[in-house]
Amino acid sequence: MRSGRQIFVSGCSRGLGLALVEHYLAAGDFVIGCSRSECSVTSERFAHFQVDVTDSAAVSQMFREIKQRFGHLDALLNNAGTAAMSPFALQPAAAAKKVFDLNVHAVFGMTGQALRLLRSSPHPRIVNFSTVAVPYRLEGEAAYSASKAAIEQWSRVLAHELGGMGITVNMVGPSPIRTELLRGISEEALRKLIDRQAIRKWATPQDVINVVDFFLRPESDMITGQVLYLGGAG
Amino acid sequence: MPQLSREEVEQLLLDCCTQLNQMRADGEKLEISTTATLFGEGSPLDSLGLVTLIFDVEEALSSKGVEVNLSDARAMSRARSPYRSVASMTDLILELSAEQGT
Repeated sequence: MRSGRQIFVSGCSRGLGLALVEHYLAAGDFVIGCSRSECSVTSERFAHFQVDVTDSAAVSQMFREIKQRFGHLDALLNNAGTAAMSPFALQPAAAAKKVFDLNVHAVFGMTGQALRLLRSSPHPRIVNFSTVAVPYRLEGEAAYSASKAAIEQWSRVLAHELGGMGITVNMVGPSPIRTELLRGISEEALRKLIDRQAIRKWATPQDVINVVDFFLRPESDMITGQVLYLGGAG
Repeated sequence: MPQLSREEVEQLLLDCCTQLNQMRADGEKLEISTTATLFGEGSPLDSLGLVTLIFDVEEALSSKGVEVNLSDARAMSRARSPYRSVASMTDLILELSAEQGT
């Protein structure tokens, strides 16, 4: 019997996902992660699956193996995501589809599989990841922010559907963090975005982790269907 | 993968319904019968109750070595819900487990 929680993190090999893995390992939890690429984390309390989360058959197989090896999950952190920054008129349809495949449909699939493993947890949690691009209606991020708006609404509905099982569903909406997701956006554009915030500074992975920690606490059993933006957006 | 008989699947389903009834109020309990309606008109089971039952049944099947997903796309897209009765859900389980075993 493990003493810590069993926390699943998608997109765990870099950026925010990697920071989440390292944080929960340091907290004494057991972390299961997946990513398309290899993951550098080594710990006896870490298990990694090299999986493309848009591949539904591979996702099903991964969760079957998680069930066999680890039995249940306490939290699902749907961190994996992508962005395609360009004006809508210049964006190929395939690029927008790729964004929705990963940011929306893969989250649906992962969550559907994870529900079976979450329901035996005493405090089951789902945390999805949005963005301040939704409330700020940022130009050049139509597909990305639309995909995250879809996840926000889906999460609110899911909170109602799963409330009877005690599963909470919440979202964190990070303001800009220096990760690969923002690669390709000019410093000037990012500076303008940060200047719109109530707190005009870059966020860090720790700022996001603080919110996720709040959602995961046993005392947060009554917190569901909420989105918490960093920096004062919303 | 082991193949369960129709009688074994029916009994497993009824056991899961009995287990679910322990959490349900009087007047909302499921009928324990192989001819019972499970979901839809005439059943007290709402959608959350159905999800719980499906997950319970999947777990019970898994404990017998039968791994099936009762909410897979084909099951959900059928013209008549496979969840409407003990008989129709038994049919679904036997069909899916036979496919998995082949």
